[in-house]
Amino acid sequence: MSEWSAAPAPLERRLLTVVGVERLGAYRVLRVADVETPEPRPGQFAMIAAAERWGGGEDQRPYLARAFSIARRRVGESQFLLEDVGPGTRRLCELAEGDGLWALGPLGKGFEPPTQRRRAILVGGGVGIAPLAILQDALEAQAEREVSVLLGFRDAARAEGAALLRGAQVATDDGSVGHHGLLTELLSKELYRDSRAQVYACGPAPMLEAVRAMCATRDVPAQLALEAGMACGFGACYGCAVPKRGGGYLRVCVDGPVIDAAELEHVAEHAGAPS
Amino acid sequence: MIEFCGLRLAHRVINGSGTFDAIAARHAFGPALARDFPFAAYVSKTITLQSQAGNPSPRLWEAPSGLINSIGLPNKGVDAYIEEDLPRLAELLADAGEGGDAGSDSTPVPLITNVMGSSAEEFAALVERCERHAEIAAIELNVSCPNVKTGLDIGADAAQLEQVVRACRPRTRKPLIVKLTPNTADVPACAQGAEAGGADAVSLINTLRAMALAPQPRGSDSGARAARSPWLGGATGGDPRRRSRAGLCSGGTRERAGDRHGWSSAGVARARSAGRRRDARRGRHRELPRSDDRERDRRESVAVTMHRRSLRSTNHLLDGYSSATSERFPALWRYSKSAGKDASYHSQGSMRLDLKLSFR
Repeated sequence: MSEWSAAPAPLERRLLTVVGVERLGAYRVLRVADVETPEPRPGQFAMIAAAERWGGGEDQRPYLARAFSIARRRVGESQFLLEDVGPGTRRLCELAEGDGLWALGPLGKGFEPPTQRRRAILVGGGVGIAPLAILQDALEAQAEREVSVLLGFRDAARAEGAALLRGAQVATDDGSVGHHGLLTELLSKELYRDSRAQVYACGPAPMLEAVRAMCATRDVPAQLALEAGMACGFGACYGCAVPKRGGGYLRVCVDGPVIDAAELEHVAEHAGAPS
Repeated sequence: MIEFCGLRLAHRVINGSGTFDAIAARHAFGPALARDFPFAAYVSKTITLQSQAGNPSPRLWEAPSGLINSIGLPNKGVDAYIEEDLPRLAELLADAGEGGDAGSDSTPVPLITNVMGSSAEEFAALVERCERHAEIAAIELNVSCPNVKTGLDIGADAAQLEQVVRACRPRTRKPLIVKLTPNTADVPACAQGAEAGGADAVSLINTLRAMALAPQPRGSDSGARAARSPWLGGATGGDPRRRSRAGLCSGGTRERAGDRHGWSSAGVARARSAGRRRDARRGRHRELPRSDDRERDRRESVAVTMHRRSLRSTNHLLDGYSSATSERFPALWRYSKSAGKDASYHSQGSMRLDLKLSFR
C-alpha cells in the first residue's frame, strides 16, 4: 500500500448508535455502529455530539460538536477515545449502549505513509494516542514494516490506555509505569538506535513541540497530529488556526490535523479546544 | 422560486458570511456538495483590499451565552479572491444550480460577495472591483469595522453608515446589502441610514462583542492562561481587526480590557435571565419589561446568538423562522412591518443566525 485513500465525507452529519463503551483506565473507548462511513485515512477526525442532552442544562454547554480522531475502525464500527476533561467530553463519557451520536466526517488530512522505507515511530501522549491506533493498524497491514510505539502518560490510570496499541514502550510522569520521565527520552534512544525513521506524533502541545525540536535537530521527518477547538470542522470558520512557519496561519481542520513538522516554527499551545 | 432584491432564490436559507467556505467544503464533501448544495445563495467570507492573516489563536470560546469568536477576517485580499477564488466559486455554484439535474434550464446559485473597508473610499473601491465581475450577483457590506480616523464602527453610526453606502451606490448596479452591526445603540436607525444611502437590503446581525476571561489555572495544565486575562488571542469577540481592540482598550492593559468586559457580560447575563423566564413559562414569549428601545434592541441582539443554538438543522431553522421574527425579536419585526418591508429572508451558518430584510 503506497497510498492511503481518503474519500469525501458525506455532506450531512449522521446519527449513529453506540454499541459499547469500554473503560481503559482513565479513558473510555466509545464504539459506534458506523456502516456507511467512507473508510477514514489514519489521522482523520469526526465532529461528534451526543444526540440527547447536548446543549440545555444549567449553563447550556456543551453545544459545539467536538473534534475527535477516529481511533480505530472495525467492520461496521468506528471507535473514539475519550477522557473527561470538560463539559463536552463529560457528556460523551456518559454515553451508553443504545444512545445516539451525531457524527460528521471523516474530515481533515490524515497521515502520509512512510517514505523511502523509513521505520515508523509512533509517539503519543495521553488521550493523543488515539489516532496512532488506527495508524498502527494501517502500518502493520503492510506486513514487512517495523513499527515502534512510544506512549507517555501522567499516571498509572492513564497508562492503562497503552493497551489501545500493540507493543508499546511506556513512560509516565510519576514513574508508576514504565520509564520514569519524558517520552522524548525514549524517542531519543530510538533515534540513536536508528535515525532512518519517520516519526508520527500526537499529544499535548509541549510534548509535540519537544518531538518537533528533537526531530528537526536530527533531520528526521515528523508528522504531527494537532488538536484545536473547532466550530465547524471543514474550513469554514477559521477558528482552529495555528501559526505556521514564515507567518500566517494553518487551519487545523483542513490543512491538518496532521501537519508536517517542517511547516511549523514551533507547536503553539492548543488553540483553545472547547473540551 | 422566491425573489430577494432581484436575486432569484430556490428557497429561503443562505449562509451567514464567514460561516461556510464553499471551496473548503467542496474539498471535504466532494461532488455531493454541488449536488445537494444547502444554500439558496452563497455569501463569501469578508474580503478586504489587502490580504489579512487574522487574529492570534485561540479564536473560539464556547461560553454559556454563546460562541465567542475573534477570527480577525483572514482573507487573501480582493485581487487574489477575484483571480483565484472567483473562477472556482463560479464553477461550483453553476454545478450547484444544476442540482444534479444537469441539462435542465438551470441558473447558478447566486454569489454574494461580502466586503469590508475602513473608509468610504475603501468600500467604494471594493464595490467597484466586484461590479466588473458578472459571477458576483450581489455585494454585502460588512460595516462592523472601525473607521480608521475615528476608531468608531462605521456601521454603529447611522449618518456615517449612510455616507458609506452613498459612496458605494453609484459604483454598482448589483444589489447592495448592508450587514448591520449589533454593537450599536440604535439598530433600526442604522438600518434607515443604510436605506437612505441606497442599500437594497440589510442583514442582521454581525458578531456581538463579547469577552471571555481565562479561569484559574489548573495545576500544570499547559493550556491555561494567566487567570482573568482574556482567553481569546484577539481579546474580544466581534472585533474584526486587532486595531479595533486597541481602540477598545485605548491606552489600557489587558486588565483594563477585563474591566471593559463588565458591561457586555452584564448584558448577556440579563438576556440569559430573560430566556430563563421565558422557559419557565413553557416556551411562551414574555414581553420584556418596558424600557427604552436601546435596551430592548440590545437584548434582542443577544437573543439572536442564544436562539442559534436551538436551530439544530435547516428544517428546524425553517420551523424557527416565524418565531424568530415575530416573537423573539418583536422590535425588529415591528420595524420591518411599520416600514412596509418584507422580512423575507434569513440564514444560518454553523455559528450564527442572520435575518435579511429587503427594502424592495
